[in-house]
Amino acid sequence: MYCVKCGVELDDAEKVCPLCGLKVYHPDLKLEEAKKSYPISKVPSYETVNKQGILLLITAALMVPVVICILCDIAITGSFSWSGYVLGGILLFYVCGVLPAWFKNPNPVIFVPAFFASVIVFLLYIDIATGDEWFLSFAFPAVGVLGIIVTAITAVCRYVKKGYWFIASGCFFAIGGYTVLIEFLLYITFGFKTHIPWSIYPLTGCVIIGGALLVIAISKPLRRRVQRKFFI
Amino acid sequence: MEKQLRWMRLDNAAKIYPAARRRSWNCLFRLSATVIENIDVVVMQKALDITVKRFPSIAVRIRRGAFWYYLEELSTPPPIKSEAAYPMARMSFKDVRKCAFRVVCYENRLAVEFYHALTDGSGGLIFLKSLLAEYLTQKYNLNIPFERGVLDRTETPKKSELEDSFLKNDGPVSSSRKEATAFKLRGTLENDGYLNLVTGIINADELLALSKQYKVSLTEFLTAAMIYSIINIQNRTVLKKKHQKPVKILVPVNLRKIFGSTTLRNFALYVTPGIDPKLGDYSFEEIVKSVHHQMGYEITAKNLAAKIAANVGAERSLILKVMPLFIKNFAMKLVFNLFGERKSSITISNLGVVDIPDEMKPYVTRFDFILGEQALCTDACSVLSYNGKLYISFLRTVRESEVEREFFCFLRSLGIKIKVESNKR
Repeated sequence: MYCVKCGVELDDAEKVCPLCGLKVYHPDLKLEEAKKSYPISKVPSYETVNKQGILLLITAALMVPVVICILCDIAITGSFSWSGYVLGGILLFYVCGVLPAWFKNPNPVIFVPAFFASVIVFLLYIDIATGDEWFLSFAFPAVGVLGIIVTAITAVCRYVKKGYWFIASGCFFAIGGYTVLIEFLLYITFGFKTHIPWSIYPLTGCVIIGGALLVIAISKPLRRRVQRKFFI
Repeated sequence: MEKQLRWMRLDNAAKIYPAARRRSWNCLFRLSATVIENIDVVVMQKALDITVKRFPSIAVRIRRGAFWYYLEELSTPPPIKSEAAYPMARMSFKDVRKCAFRVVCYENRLAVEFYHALTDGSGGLIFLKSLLAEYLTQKYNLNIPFERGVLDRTETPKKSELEDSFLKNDGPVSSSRKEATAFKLRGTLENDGYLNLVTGIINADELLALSKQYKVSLTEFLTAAMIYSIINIQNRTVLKKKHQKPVKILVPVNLRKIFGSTTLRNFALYVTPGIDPKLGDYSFEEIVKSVHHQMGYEITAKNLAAKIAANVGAERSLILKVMPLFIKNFAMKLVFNLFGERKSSITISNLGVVDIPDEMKPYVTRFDFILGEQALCTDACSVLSYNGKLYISFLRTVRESEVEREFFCFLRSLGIKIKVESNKR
């Protein structure tokens, strides 16, 4: 039989043209039966790298220092003290680096807040273990608000596929506001105070850039002009 | 006392293959012969047991030294394997370290798959012919003369067959290896590593007559046709002319005739004729002419000797020699990944006309030559002719059969009749 598209003669074993994929068909002629030149059912199988196996290996490798530290800690001090930091640090690394890899398509909108939450828990542990009192008034709001900002940006970038000028301007406003918050928290927790609040400077800069981006985002002719002026 | 196993260094061209290997890529090639009746595996095993002794540079395995890999003679001949869904089923490096070639029988076809570090197509063909002659002798009681590439299996191997001819034929100066990066074909990789084979069978005389019309050799004609096809593909995929890359074909050149060598190990180099589509639209006639002159200029003893000198020079450097193997591997792999296959769009390896003694001819209906999958190129093209028929095989790692289609349809438009067969699932 011939392929009507490619014009090449086909071996009797070909059911479709190997060049163009067109089905071999003739309304009047019966297709002849023939054997392929290779046993096409015998597909060799190869060993592939098992992702889960590697992740298990990493998990096991991370367990080793944790166990050693806890054993040493208990042997030396007789109680569970400094090894808690090691355990917490490694858990933190695990949550941000290894845990998402277990999933097929990890969603950053879930894993980013999870990471910030684990940072907060770790800081809470350190706060309690050292007996200081900076967690509720400083660490929790500082990390929590940063977590909310980063999660919001991630979520918007992931689910809203346009309006990047607006997102960029929002980022700058958020960063400016965040510096003010940090200064306030430093003041109420640790009593840091300067004559003129330092957060004015980053705030002003961020507001100017953010405002400019917002104007560009709103005004279409301006956006076009900016593109014309700064094209690469 | 245990017999001392013969060992030898890898030849100059072979050194890159174990170093640049990947998990999914081992450079293999397959030569096969189809006979009139189904192969008797028991007789074939006996024939193999006898034949391997004559080829101490092919019946080997690869072993690791402190500074270099080396070939070691096999203590026992390998068993005959059965065919898989596609040729050149992956040969892991673990397998290469046990035995670096495999003999595969399927119905009436005998195939030998060689790890490229052992030998090149011409050397492999002599092994296949000798094995086939031994098989036919045992099976049908033939009296086959030792001529046209069939060796006497009982004689001791000659020294000239085992030499590394590269080291003898290097030129006084080495040529630069700098080349332009070529256009690369792309496609969707098969998930399970399936290799798609498409073979086009053409009347050799018809194609030869056509290439005579253009006043070029058959290899030059096929190279030009391939360049023309790939330029068409590039025109479809890369629309802006200024972003297009040169289309270059890697054509291996057998150096045995040029330098008068009879070695059974690697002794081939390559040339990369090509066309830069940035310069304008080429007609097929222009491409044929350009390829003819490019190859005529490149394939001269002096030019090739300078190329050999560049490769041999690196091997002779004392600093490189004393570098531990793993550092050498790392460096060679890096160089290969950066330069190796990036300088050509596809390989066309033409083994030429296969000739066998007249006594064997009634029993052998067909020969095939298939070049194994490439590291980066999606397709590999290999050509061989036997008994008035030309077999053009494409082996590809991707699903799309774009190159084959373009190439065969172009030949078809020149009025060449083509019969196509494949292992399409």
